[in-house]
Parts: sequence; C-alpha cells; structure tokens
Amino acid sequence: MKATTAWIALIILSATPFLLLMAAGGVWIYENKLVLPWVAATLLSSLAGFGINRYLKKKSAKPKTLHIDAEKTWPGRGSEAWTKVEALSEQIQKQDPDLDNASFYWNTLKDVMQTVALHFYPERKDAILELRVPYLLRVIELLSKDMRIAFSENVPGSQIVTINDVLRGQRLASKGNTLLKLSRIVAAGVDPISAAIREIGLLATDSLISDSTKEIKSWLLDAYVKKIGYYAIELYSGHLVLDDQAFAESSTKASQTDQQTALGREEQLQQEPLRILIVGQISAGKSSLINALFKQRKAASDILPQTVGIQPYLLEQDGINKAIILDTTGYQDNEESLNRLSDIGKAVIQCDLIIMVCAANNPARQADKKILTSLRRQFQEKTGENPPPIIIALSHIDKLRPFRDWTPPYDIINPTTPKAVAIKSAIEVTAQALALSISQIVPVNLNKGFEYNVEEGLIPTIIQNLDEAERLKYLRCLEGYRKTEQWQALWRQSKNAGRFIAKKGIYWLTNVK
Amino acid sequence: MWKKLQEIIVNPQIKKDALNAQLLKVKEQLPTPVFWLLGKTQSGKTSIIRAITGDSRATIGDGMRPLTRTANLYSFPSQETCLIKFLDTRGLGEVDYDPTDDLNAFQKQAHMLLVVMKAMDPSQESVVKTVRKISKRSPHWPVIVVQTCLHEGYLPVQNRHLDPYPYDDVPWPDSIPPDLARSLTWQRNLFKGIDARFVAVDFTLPEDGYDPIFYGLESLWNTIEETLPQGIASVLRNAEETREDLHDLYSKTAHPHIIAYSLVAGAAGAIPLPVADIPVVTAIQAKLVQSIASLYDYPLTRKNLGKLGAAFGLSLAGNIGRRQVVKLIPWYGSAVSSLITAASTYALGKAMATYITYSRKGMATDPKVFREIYREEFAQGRKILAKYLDNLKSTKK
Repeated sequence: MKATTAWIALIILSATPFLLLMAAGGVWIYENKLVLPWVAATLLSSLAGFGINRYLKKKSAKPKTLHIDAEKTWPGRGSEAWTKVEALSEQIQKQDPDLDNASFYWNTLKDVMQTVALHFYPERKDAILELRVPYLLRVIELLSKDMRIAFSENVPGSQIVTINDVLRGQRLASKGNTLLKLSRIVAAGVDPISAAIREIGLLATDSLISDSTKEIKSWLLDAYVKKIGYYAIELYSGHLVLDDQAFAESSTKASQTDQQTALGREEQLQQEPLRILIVGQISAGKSSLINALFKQRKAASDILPQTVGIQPYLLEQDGINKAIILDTTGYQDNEESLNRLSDIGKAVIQCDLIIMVCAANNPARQADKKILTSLRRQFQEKTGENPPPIIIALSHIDKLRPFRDWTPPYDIINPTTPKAVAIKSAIEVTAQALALSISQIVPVNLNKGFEYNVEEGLIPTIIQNLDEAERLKYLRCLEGYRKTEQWQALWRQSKNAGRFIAKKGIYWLTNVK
Repeated sequence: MWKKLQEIIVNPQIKKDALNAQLLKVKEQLPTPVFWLLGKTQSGKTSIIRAITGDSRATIGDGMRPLTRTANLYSFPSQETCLIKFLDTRGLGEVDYDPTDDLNAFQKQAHMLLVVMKAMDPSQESVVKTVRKISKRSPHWPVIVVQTCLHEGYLPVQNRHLDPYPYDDVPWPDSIPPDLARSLTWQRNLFKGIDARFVAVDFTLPEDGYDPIFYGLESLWNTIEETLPQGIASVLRNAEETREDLHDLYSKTAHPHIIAYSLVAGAAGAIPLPVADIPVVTAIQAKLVQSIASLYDYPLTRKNLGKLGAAFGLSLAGNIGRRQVVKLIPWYGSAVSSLITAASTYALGKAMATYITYSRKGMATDPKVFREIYREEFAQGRKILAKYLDNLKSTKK
C-alpha cells in the first residue's frame, strides 16, 4: 500500500508541470475564444482514431496461416480438394456452431469427407459410402493420435489429469484469470476437436492466452476441418494405406516423429537385453561361469576371491539374443559379509534371471540360502512382482568322488557310474538345502579346458526360463519408460505452453490431487 | 597267575558293577585330552579321526555316541579305555544350523581345537570367526589348523601327491602347485593374531587312487605331539614297534587298545594298597585279552586259552610276585609299581597279539620265543609308558 501511495505521489508530482500547462492552455484557449475550433479538432481526431482502431481489430482477429498445408506429393486433384477444404473451413467458422454439441463433430467429419470424396469421384454420389470401414477407422485413429500428442504436449500436466480433475478445474475456473485460461485449455483438450490444439500449441504463448474465446474457437474449427480434409485427401488420393511401413513414408512429419517414437519404444523393448545376475559364495566359480558362457576369458577367475562390486558383461549368443551378465562380489556365511551385499540387493531389482553358482564339493549352503531368501524378499518388496527365476549352476562336480574320474558325459537321470551317482545326489542335496526343484539345478564343470554342461545344460535351462524372464523384462521396461515419458512430457509442456502456465498448472493439478 | 586270569576270562567272578566303579575311578585320574574338530560341513573332520586312530576298517560309527542332536563324542580307542576323545561337531554353514548353543557347551568339554578346512575353499570367515571366539575364551588352548583335500588344488597333468611331503619345508619348494600354495598361505593369513599351527594333509579312501591314503599324517602327528602335554601322542603313534614284521593292520588297530589298557592298569596299580589291587588289575588284563581276541577275531575257547597260557604263563606269575614286593615301599613303590603294572599289561597284550599272528601263519609257538617276546615288549612298554605315567603323577600332585 505504501508503495502504491508513493507511486501515485510520484505520478502526481511529475504530472503537475503538465497539468499546469493544460490548465494554462485551457485558460489561453478560453481567453482567445478558440473553444469551438478545439472541440471540433478533438472530435475529428477521435473519429479518425476509432476508424484505425476498428481496422486494426478486424485485422488482428483474422486467423493466422495454419500449419496444415497441402502436401506436395498430392496429385493436382488433391490440391484442388484442399482448396475446397479450406473454403469449407471458413464457411464453418462463419456458422459459429455450438461446440458442446457432439453431433457437430460427426456432421463436420461427414461433410468434409463427402466433399473430398465427391471431388475425387464426382460421378458417384455415394462415394463416401464406398469407403471401407478400416480406412475410416484409420482416419479417426490418426485424428485421435494427433489429438493425443497435441494434448499431452500442450496441456500442462495432462498425463496426470483425470476427467474429474478437469471438471473440478472448470468449477474453479472463476477463481482466477490463470485458472480460467488453464481450464479452458484443459476443457478444449478433452473435446474431440482437440486435434486442433496441436496448432494452438504451435502459436506463441501470448496467442494462447488471448482473451478472445471467439478466436480460439475459430482456430479449433479450422484445425479440425483441415485435419479431416487432410486425411480424407490422403485417403482418396491413395496415400493412406493400412500398412504401417508404407504409411511411415507418406504420413505427416508429426506422424512420422510419433511413429518413430513408438517404434523406438518397441525397439527399446526388444533391444533391452536380458539382465542375468550371477551370485555365489566366494570362489564358487562365478567368474569361471562367465568365461565359460563367453567361451573366452572375460572375467578374472582365480582360486582366491576376486570380483569386487558388480561387473557387467554383454553376452550375445544364439537363443539368448543379448544379455547383460552381472558378476557380483562373492559372499561368505558371515553376517558382516552378507550385509555388505546391498549392491546385489539393488541389482536384483533390475534383473530378469538369477544364476547362483554353488560348489558341489562344498555343501555348506547356509549363506546361499540366506542370500536367496534376501533377494526374493527385496525383489518382492521393491517391485511387487514375483521374483525372477533362479537357476543353480552346481560347479566343481569334477571334485566329487571318485576324484580322479572325469569322463563325461554322465547320465544323471539314470546314473550307472559312481561319479554320476555322486553328481545326482549332490543335486538332490542342494535342491533340498535351498528348497528348490531339481530342475532348477544344473551341474557344470567350469574348469578351463574341461567345460562341461554349460552349452548342453545351462544355456538351454536359461532359455527355458526365458519366457518368464522376458515377461519380467517387459514389465521392467514399461516401468522405466513410464518414468522417462512423464518427465519428458512435463519438460515439453513447460516449453510449449510457457513456463509460467506449466508451473502453475502442475502445481495446481498436483495439489488438487 | 595265568590260571587266575584264565578263570576270570572264562568265568568272571568279580562283580561287574564293582569293577566298573573301580575302572571309572581309575579313568578319572587319567587325563583324557578332548580334540574339538571344528570346520565347515564336509571339510574332512571324520577323515581326520580315521587317520589319527589308524583304524581304517572302522567303523567310526561304533565309537560314536550321540552327545547332542548336533555333535558326536568319539572315544578312542574305545568307550571303556579311552586315551583321547574327539568332539566331532556338526559342520558350520549347514542350512538352518545356529551353532551358538553348541559352541557354548563344547567350550567346557574340550581341551584343544583341530580346525579343519579344505585347502582350496577360501570361504572360511565363519570358521575363523568361531575360532577367534573360542580362543578368546580359552586363550591357552592349542589350535591346530588342518588343511585338507590338497588334491583339489593339484594340476590335472600332475594329479598325485608330492613325494617327499614338502609342506614342512621352509620356504615351500616350487614343486607345490602355485594355486595350492597361494590358497594355503591365504588361509593361514586368516588366523593372524591366533597362535595356531598349520598342517597340510590329504586323507583319502583307498579307492580314491591317491598314494599314500593318509598323506601328511606324519606331519599332523608331529604337530599334535608338540601340542599335547602328556606325551600321549608318542605313545599312540607306535613309532618304535619292536617287531617290524608284525606291523600289520591288526597290530596297528590293537596298539592303541593295548596302550589304553596298560595305562588304566597302571593307574589302578598306583593305588597304594598291597594285594588289594590284584583283582582289579587282573580284571583289566582279562578285558585286554578279550578285546585283542575280538580284534583279531580269535575265539577264546578253553583250548585256545590253554595254549596261550602254555606259551607265556610262567613269566606272568613271576612279575606279579615282584610287583607286590615293590609296593610295600610307600610312594616310590606306587610309582614303580604302576609302571610295572602298565608295562606288564602292555607286554601281555603285545605278546598275545604276536602269538595269534604267529599261530595263524603256522609259525612255531615255542614258549621260549614268547618269553623273549614278552621281555622285549615289557622293556618297550616301560620305555614308552614311563613318560606318560610320570606326567600323570605330576599332574596329580
């Protein structure tokens, strides 16, 4: 208040000399009897100003050129049809239809389609009826897609907006100018017409928040009609095909981008490699397992504990396609040792499959049991999903009795030699100790040069478990994608709609929620 | 005297309960070291018992008495006459096994630790931690770390034991596979701050194909001997057997039994009451004869006993007379008498074992020969048992 008073004082003080001049001028005009000419001059200049003002208003009310243009690839008839669509758009804008009436959108869609159809097939009055359903659906699909993109890119916080939020937003609209504008945008967004919002979004922020409802309305109508016209021409000129691949070449820039995004996501899902976590007691043979999987020395395997922290390796092999193998620190049956494994706990959330390496000649399984329980629990707590499949690679089977016998292959299902019997019983003991099924346990020899049952046994078991693993991978990707998507969208919105609105909007929406 | 012994063997007249009570009293006086075998499951604890006792036929299960649900106390050579005990505890690291209670209980029962670990298994934190806990509570306990299953560290190209045994050499020769040497050193470094001794062994079964089956046993004995105060290790080792040609499996198995009975008899003979001990000592000797007969699978028929008596009966009687005289002199008497009783029991056992072997081989069983054998074994028994009985006497005081 004080500042306002000071401002007023300042204005009065600085205006005083001119006020004095005005008073003096008035006196001078009166004394020289020039009152009538002054009144006449004032009237004249006011009239002239009014005229200019009206001219300006009329000019500024005219819609700016839309970004929807005729495609150069269209044949001559396409461009002609486009002219008709433009004419139709202007005509509809002049009609000033009721946007709340749903039938308006359908009728307009029909009219535009009819116009274009008649243009391409003038001899057939029922051209529109010839339209095959999939194609019509395709047009609606594209419209909807444009609408979705425009909406999410230009309406602040749209991906966290529910219909309820919008209704509440409308009720709140009277409370403030910003909210009013915001609710108008949001409300427009949920109308089918919002394909046009895309165009609005491309305008400068000041246009967006223009006070004129009429202007916005005419923009929306124009965009809606032209969009329909655009796709109708695409359709009748033979540019629109149902095959996505071909479509990518003939679609709009926006659609191309969008499709690429979609493809990218798809690709991301497919390319996202399987993540396999390898755990085991120290020197159980984790690094040897990695070397055996890669058929080359990748990890430093040694008789003494080596790997510290998590070491990722990229594996490409038939059937597994692509996998990231995460080698971890070995653990021991010791509380401190087990507690140090928080990094494994973090890694398990991001993994699709767990391979635990257990030394067959060292049947102390307490530590393994503890780790399995802990990994399962952490996975369930943090993701709410079932834990990933677990495979036990039972290593060092060559060191089972009889020690000197190493003449694979061994028939473990119907063992005939003492070694095969020993391997079988080691599998059974391990399964029992870890409360797993026998099918989850694969006996292997990982000694360099003596590798056995890695390609024949372990890899097929991994692949067998892939179905479940793939499903997990998909879920994990979606989770990751949803997060990035949300933040990317928020960033785009604040850029497109002006930071001020975005900020306010998000603030408001999140608080309403 | 032989007749009396013979009578007792065939028709025991001494009341069994009275004898057992007497024996129990005697055994209480004998210090019995208890080895606590500590290690992960399947690290080779039982193999060590098998190797130390030398009884490879055995039947460790026979001497196993379930102590708790989770541990076994193995008396060696037998429940009745036991020289050393092995506390074979459940392996650490087994699923759902919390050793805390067991460890507290065993702390009171044992005298020394035999820590067992596979030479190529570096995952020993839990074992080392337990050892530290135990030796903090009993700092004077000897700790012997036995590193087993050396063959797991052998190179495939040279998959056999190194001969001669190189692990006592300092520094280790290069012939030891480098990975094995590194793993052994690494494990030894885990025990920093604990006064532990280390032995590398590989105790296998004959069918495993490694020669010798008890690789490094000599080194383990040496280490035990250094740590055992009563000299019992040297008694048990049977290193200086007089009759090399009889060093067979039966003899090896019988040896600790003979030692045990001799010591029990010696302890009984130390009771300073003339003549009163004769029934007890005779009963013990009778038991020894029964025990050896059963070990050698030699039926104790009257006929067989008669043959035995004919072979060396006279010398026995002579000895008993001398012992009674000596005992009349207090203090000095009891010590000498206990040694004589022990040595004569020893000689009896050894001579009997020799007799059975000779007669099985169809060799001459001339009483003269056995009198000579008895004399030799008696001298040997005096020599090897003196130190132990000496220790026994000094610990009693």
